[in-house]
Amino acid sequence: MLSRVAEQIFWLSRHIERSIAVSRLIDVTLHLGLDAGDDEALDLWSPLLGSTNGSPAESVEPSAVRYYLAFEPANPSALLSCIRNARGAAREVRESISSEMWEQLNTLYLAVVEPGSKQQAEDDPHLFYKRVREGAQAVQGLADSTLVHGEGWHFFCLGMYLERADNVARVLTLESHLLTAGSSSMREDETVRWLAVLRSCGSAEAYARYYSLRVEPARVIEFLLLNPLFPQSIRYSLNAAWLALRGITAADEEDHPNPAVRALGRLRAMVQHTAIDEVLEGGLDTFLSDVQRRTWEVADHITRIYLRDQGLQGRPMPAARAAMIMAAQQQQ
Amino acid sequence: MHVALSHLTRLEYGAEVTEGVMDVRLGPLSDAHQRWLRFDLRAAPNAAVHGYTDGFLNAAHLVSLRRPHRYVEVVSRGEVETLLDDPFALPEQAPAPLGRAERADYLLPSPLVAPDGRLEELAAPFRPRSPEHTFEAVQGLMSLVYREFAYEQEVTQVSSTVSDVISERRGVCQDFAHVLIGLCRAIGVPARYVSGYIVSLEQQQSQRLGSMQQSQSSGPTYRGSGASHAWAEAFTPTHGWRGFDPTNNLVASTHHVKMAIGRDYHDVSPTRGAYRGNAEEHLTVDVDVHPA
Repeated sequence: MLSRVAEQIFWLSRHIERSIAVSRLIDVTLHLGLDAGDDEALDLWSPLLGSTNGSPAESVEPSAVRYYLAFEPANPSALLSCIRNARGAAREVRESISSEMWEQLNTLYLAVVEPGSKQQAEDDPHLFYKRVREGAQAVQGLADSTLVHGEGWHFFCLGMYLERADNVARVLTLESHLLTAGSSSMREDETVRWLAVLRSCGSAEAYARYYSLRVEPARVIEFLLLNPLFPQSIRYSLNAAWLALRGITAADEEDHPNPAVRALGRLRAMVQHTAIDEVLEGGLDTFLSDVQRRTWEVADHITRIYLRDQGLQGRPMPAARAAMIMAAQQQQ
Repeated sequence: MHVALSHLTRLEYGAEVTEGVMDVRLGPLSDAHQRWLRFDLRAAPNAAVHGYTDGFLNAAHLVSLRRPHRYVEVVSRGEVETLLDDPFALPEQAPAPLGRAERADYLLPSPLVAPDGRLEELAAPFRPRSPEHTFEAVQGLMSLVYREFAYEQEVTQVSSTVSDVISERRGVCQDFAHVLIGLCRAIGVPARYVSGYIVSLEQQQSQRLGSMQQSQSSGPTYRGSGASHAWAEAFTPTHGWRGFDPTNNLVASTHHVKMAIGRDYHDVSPTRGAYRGNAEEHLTVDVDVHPA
């Protein structure tokens, strides 16, 4: 597979996953606002500016925050930017993805760039963000059911699960102050907040099935961080990303894994062999920022090794990778 | 004159390479002075060929080979009728003056013909007294290049600039064309690079009679007839665009077949490209041009 194609598929997938996370976050925060009622002191929106990449100047107007998260052209993680970038990537590799995937993604894009969409998003936010989320999820579903499960598909999974691990870590970081503020006696509204955390990761129902409806911060964190079977947990995501990466690496690399495989393997092992008590003792923030930093490192290695054709230090560049200029003929 | 030609370009690699892309400018170019009767371009092994027109209105082709391959071969064959019997005769209609864009293209410096004080020094004595004398002035510059520069292969490379050639005072037709273009531009005459072929009558004989009777050949042999050739075209107010071949000290006529035009070699290199791989590369070019 051409590295150019791999790169586009990888980022197509990351952007789709990120758009799902952003639309969930906005939707959940809106509902949280409704539950909170008229409590003016409660500022639910401005913390969100720190949760996606980059934050603008202090702005606490909820609609301004929603605009920034969903439509702001200067925000690379805005919903609109994600979907536009995903579509741009898909168009570059139109021949390597299925028509159904492309059509679904294009339909989603057209629905979001439509002039009336900003108004729709404010008039009926739940419907709007639910549609966007479902549209993006349909792209993932079509990728699963219409792509050959070969290299391209592995890059799609790799992008999706790395992005998911990163997003869940972000959402948890956002709420980690609740845990440190005073965990012994949970106030009513904190239960609501933790439920919202679960919902923004699409995990409330699965959590309820696991732990019944007792919402305890430590259990919520354990579920989102360490659950081995739930596909929205960080542990599951890292494991799935690792399997995808193993699907990409050549068999002869088994004995000499490259830095990407090593970095992801170590991260996966760390999350797998950590208990929730240890996480809380060492500090949730520290643990989460460690996970995020190492996820970025993995993505960085993958970019260098697979997507950009840059050689590894100390190893000769594979013969098939270097770009060379053809000899030109002199006119004599 | 009817001219038959074939031009083979072959790149061989010591190991398999992938993702080869080659940008090809081998014609066909038809204008008032030449007309193609047939043209055929083939690329091997099993390459995708996409034809397009570039910014100078040259016919160009993009040859791409995605799969692993050990060689690339591009062959163009064709027959062209050259029509400019007397390049000195004034055209029936006075040529329309050049537009602003064309003047900018062909008067301003280009990558391989950068400004050089020595160009202005050499060209200054030839500055025409009036626009009507431009043709003679360019002829004078052409003879100057022919006299002052020695034809020698293997001294310069494809990427040699006009300044390199002036310092060296030696080179091949590509270099002489660049020098003449620089000289023309230095005295305000728009000039462009022509990539093409020159028909040698020597080849006419050898083609028709075989190598045994080569000694009987009577026509002149021109330099640059073994590979693709290059010369300069200058725009004169009296004649319009006319070709000046400083390698042979010849105003281009029916013996010159054009492939493509541009500001310098950079714009019109017959083939150029890139590939992925780490292999030794060997380039072979074989040009055969003879009167049909």
